[in-house]
Formats: sequence, C-alpha cells, structure tokens
Amino acid sequence: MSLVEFHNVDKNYGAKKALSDINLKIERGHIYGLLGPNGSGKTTLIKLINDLLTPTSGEVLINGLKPGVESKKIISYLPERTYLNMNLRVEEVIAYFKDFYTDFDEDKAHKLLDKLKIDSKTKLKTLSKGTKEKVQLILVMSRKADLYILDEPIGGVDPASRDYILNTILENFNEGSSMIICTHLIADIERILDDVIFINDGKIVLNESAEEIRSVRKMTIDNLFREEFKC
Amino acid sequence: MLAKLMKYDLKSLLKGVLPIYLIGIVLAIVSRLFDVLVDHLSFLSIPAGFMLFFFILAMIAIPFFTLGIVVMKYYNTMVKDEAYLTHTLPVKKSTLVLSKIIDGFILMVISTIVIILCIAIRLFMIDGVFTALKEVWLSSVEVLGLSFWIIIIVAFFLGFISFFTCVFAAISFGQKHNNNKFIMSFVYYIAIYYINQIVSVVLLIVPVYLNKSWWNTLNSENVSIEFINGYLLVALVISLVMSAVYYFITVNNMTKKLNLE
Repeated sequence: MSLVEFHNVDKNYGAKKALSDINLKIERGHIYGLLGPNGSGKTTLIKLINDLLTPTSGEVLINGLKPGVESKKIISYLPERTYLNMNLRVEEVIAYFKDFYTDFDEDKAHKLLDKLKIDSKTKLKTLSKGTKEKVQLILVMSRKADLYILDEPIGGVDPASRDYILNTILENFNEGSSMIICTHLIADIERILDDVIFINDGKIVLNESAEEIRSVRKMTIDNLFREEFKC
Repeated sequence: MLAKLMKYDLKSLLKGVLPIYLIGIVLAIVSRLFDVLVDHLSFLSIPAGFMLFFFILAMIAIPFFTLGIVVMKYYNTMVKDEAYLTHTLPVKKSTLVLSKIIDGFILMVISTIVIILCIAIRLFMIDGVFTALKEVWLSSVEVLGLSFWIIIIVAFFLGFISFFTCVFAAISFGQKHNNNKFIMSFVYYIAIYYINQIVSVVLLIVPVYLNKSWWNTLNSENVSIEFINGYLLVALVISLVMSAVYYFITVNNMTKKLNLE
C-alpha cells in the first residue's frame, strides 16, 4: 500500500476543471517535486491530500484511509500562506503545536529557532515575511511525520538563506518518511529530489525519477521544466 | 482535544474583548464620580451627562462587540488563512465546531457579567437604588413566579447558542462558494434566519390557532402563568432542536464540502 493514492480524481471549481482524472501514488521514503506553471493544479492536489478540499469525483487515500483525523496525525503541512495567529508569540505557537501534535519535538523547534537567531518571545506580527515563513517551516519540520508537504517553502526566503533552509529540511526529515515539495524555484531544490511530478492544466504530464531525468534525458530538472512549459 | 481547542480560542477571544470591557468599567467609574461631584460642582453637569451617555453607549456596545468578535474569529479560523491550520489539526470537525459554540457562549456569559458589574459600579452608593431593585425583583417573582424568571434567563442564554449555530451554519454554506464567501455567508444567514422564523411561527402559533381551547386561554385576560411557562418551554425546546440541526449542518458541510480558497 502506498502512502498516498489518487484514484481517478477530478476536482472542479464550478465550471472550471482544476484537476482531471488524476491517478498518482506517493511512496514511502521518497522526496517528490510537484512542479508546474501557475494555476496548473498543484495546490489543489495538495489541498485534497490535506482534507482542505473534497474531490468532485474519485478517491484520495492516505495509508489506505480517506483523509481525516488519522491522516492529519501523520501529515505535516506547510501551506503557501501564513496560517498562524499573528497575535501570538513564537513560543505560544510552539506550545500550540506541542498540544495538538503528539509527534511534535519541542526541543528540536527551539534548537532550530536558536540556529536562525529567532527569539521565541517575539510576536509573530512583528517578524518579517521571510522570518514568519522560517518559523512555519521550523514548526512543520519539528514534527516526526510520515509525510511532509511543503508548498513554496523557500518562496519568501532570500537566496542566501535558501541553502540553509534546504539543509534544515533534509537534516530534519525522518528516514522512511516522504516529502512533497511544491515550488517554482526548481534549480534551488532539484538536488534534493528523488522523483518529479509535472502537472499542467490539471493533468499529470510527467511522473519520473530525478535520476532518470538526469541520466536518460541528460537534462537538469530545471531545464526539462523550461522545455516542457515554455510559452 | 475539546478542552485544548477551547483554551486557545477563549484566550484569543478574551484578548479581543478585553479593551471594551476595560472601557465599560472605566466609564462606569468615571461616570459615577462625575455624578457624585456634580452635587457640589454644578458646572460639571454637562460633562457628567456626556459621561452617562458614553457609559450607556458602552453597555449597548459590549454585547454586539462580543458577538462580532466571536463570529469574526470563527470566520478567520474556519474559512480564511488560519483555517489552513485549524482544518489540518488531528481533530474531528464536530469537536472543532462544538468548541467554537461553547467558547462563544462562555464569552457572552462573561460579557453579561461585565455589564452587570458596570451597572452595579454606576449605581454604587446611590441611596436606596439597590433596595428598590430588590423590591422590584421580589414583587416580580411574587407576581410571575420564580419558574418564569428561570425560563427567561435560560432562554436569554440559549439565544446566544441559537445565534452562533445559525451563523456558523450560514458560514458553512457560504464557504462552499468559490468567490464572495463572506457576502454569501451573510445571504445564507438572512435566509436561515427567515426559515427559522417561519418554522417557529408554524410550530408555535399554528397549533394554538387550531386548538380553540388554547386560543381562548391565550386571549383571555386571566391567562395563567403555568400556561405561559409551558408555552415558553415549548419555544425553548424548538430553539434547542433548531440549534442542533444547525450544528449538524455545519459539521456536515465542514467535513464533506470544505472549500478553502
């Protein structure tokens, strides 16, 4: 049984088809790059895994079960937006995560905050956009989850910090866990990917291992993306 | 999980209403002080009048402000950006919605206590006012009976639950739309409110209208307090059942038809 399975999934927003006949399996221990142009359906696909949307037809299974309380215990999700209560202090959101997620490692979160020189007494609303994103990433990566889903994890972070963030992701990623990373900054993340999923107009147009792309196609993922989606 | 959800939400809600509570208490103290001073310094009569006006305004504002804060908090945490965290917590949707209803109810009870406290401060040491209030209360209990007042108090607080469940159900329908979720939630609230009124009228008025004996009793000059109590109790049960229906609609929509932006 795969960790995540999509069976003939369609998702419509009114008359607009966001996803069409998606069949996909996410295996354990792999890091997936979910890549595609704007409006291709990446975030919709991620929302379906996280039970933030319901499919129009078809079925999404996490560990063989429909998304729900059990799947949320094993999925650590970083959305592309700021989803924390901005009136809280960093230490308060750490306490919040500790209260709700049994797999949350508070010590790890504090160590990562210290490394990035983020004061846990600071109110979230006083932090810069990039620092807020770092705090969210730390919260998400401080869980011992089976599946990490990161939607644009380095989008708001300055280029100098990106490598540090990616190393943080890799160092704190449990062996045997899986990860789905969704980003436009392909060149920055391609070194950490095991598999690549290209999505366009709500359809999966490529699902291949990163190794195959490099050795058989003799291309970088970034170059393949540019070729596939050139205007 | 219910206790944890309630703890965090209530803390956040209290932070939101605390300023208006403080304003109410300060205005009660200042207005009372002006009231005392005006006996000796007549030129303070105009500011004292203003203070009384602002105090009354604050007392009216507290419940509306509290209702607004509860509804906005619900909307932000269940439909807007914070909903991404709320809906990915390993918690059943029924628990999520229940925690919001209980928190809203607790906050309205706290607001009621604050208003009573403010009024008590405003009336502090006014000769005979508390004795007069006590007499009014005792005579009203003597005329209408304690049961009547207990039903009225229970109805007053159940009204908050009815309001919150109705609004939460409306939001659960509004969020299904891809655009204008807030406006659509408001439209659904109006629709649900009118459906509520129609159902209440059908269940409360029509049976009485059809039953000649009840109709005559209700229209007679000597309608018994037992009859009124019974009638109010039926209205309370209807309100409770409607609230339960709204709760289940909300949970169902949030579970099966969640549509976050």
